[in-house]
Amino acid sequence: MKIEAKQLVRTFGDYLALDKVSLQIEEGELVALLGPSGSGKTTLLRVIAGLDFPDSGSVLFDDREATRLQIQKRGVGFVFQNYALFRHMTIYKNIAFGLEVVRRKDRLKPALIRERVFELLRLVQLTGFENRLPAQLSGGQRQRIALARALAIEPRILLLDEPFGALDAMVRKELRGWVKQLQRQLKITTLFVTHDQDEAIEIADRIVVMNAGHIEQIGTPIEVCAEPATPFVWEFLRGHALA
Amino acid sequence: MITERPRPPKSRSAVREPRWVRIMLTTVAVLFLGIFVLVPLFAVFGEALKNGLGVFFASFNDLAAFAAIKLTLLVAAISVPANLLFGVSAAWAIAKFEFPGKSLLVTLIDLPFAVSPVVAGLIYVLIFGAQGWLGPFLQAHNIKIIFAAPGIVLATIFVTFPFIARELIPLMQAQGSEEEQVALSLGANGWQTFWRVTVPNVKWGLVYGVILCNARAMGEFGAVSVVSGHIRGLTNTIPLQVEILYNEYNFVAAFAMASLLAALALLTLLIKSLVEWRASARSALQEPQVYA
Repeated sequence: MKIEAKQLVRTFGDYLALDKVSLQIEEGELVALLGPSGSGKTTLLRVIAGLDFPDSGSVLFDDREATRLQIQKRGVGFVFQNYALFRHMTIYKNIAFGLEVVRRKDRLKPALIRERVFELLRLVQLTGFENRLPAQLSGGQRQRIALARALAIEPRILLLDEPFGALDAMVRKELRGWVKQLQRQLKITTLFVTHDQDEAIEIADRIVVMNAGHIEQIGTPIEVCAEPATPFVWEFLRGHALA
Repeated sequence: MITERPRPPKSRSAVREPRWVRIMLTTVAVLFLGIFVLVPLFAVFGEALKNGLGVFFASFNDLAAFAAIKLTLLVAAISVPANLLFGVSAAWAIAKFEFPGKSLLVTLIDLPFAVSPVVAGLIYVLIFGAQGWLGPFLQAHNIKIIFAAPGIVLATIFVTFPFIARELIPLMQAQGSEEEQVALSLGANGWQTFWRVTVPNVKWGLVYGVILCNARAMGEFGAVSVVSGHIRGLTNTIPLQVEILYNEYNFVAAFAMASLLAALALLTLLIKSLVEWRASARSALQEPQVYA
């Protein structure tokens, strides 16, 4: 699905988190929102997800107005930095959650839900973990379950907030390659927030560099590295180049 | 079969108190508990059973005693659910939202802990009593609150409302609201999110709060005493009945009634330990236990 943000403004008290942010993301793209902390990247993600509403401006999904649409109706898969798995539910129940809360008449039959959950477990390579509790999994495994849970509802877009932020360096590298591969395979429009330049350069189709509530530059990793549009981008990406 | 477990070395650790200090502290704690808690507890049951089981049970075979037990149960049956509703709403609001007046609300929840129960009772007499603000209105409409069951319920709710809220607020604050946000993003409505995500996460805290709230609701004396009017067989709860019997030198009956409250307290503690045990077993399972 195509996402468009127009002149988004969001303030928290006196603090201007988003200052007239406009942005367009094409169907099937993998886009990184890159910036230092406090640059407004997470706020932008939350506004697109429907976890937060903008003061002004609009969000369009496939050219349709979605600014005030409730999160339940947006069909977004959202993954938090700390995964936010339902701690009292087994892995199976976690993944099945989005399928089981559907109104009875639209709900899949239990056998189909089961099939879908196991299919997702295979997709994230965690078959056999269905009866574990989240606390019995490692960080990387939890992250993959969070992704499987988000994918269960067949979202139109995938939004990831610092998806690799809580993982150690080794797992992080491994997982980001895997996520890119998965995104290619599913062809789902994906937006992820990161403060890690290398991560954005390595896996994103396009990078949105943000600073102090506005967008400094949008471009492919090659473009932002080779032709930084502002001194900030130059400074922020200095020393990070395509490997 | 007995297997040898690795034991910590017996050498004196640098951060451990000397032996005599440990013995002294333990002795003080045990003596203190014994004198102030155990002896009175035994005394209650001892006095109640002094003249044998027959006399003990005969004490309950009395209309006033029966009425007191019934009223106590009624008061608890109303005030505990009321505080459950209030406690969950307040904790939810405080832990998950930012709103003006939040810190005031947190302070107000603690008010019953800070105010003497007698004052709490007097507040209701001032509002609903014959000479109170609403007195003339209530009399004109023939509604009895003070010196009747409604007043006792109100006073009990006031005294016990911090228990459940206080138990839930820190728990909900620690858990944040990300799980709820995920549930919403997965298409759950508010109701489903509450019952499937929020409640299971605070389940044991909730049970614990209800147990404490119930124990206090049944045992409250001061506030209830002020608003009750002590009408025998009508507005006496168990604690008030105990006092009346005692003042009439009817010791066996007084202690028999008191033993009922003591038994309730013991049962409460038992359930509480069971709940804590279950909860800790549960959280041990949820400790980060990393496989692979």
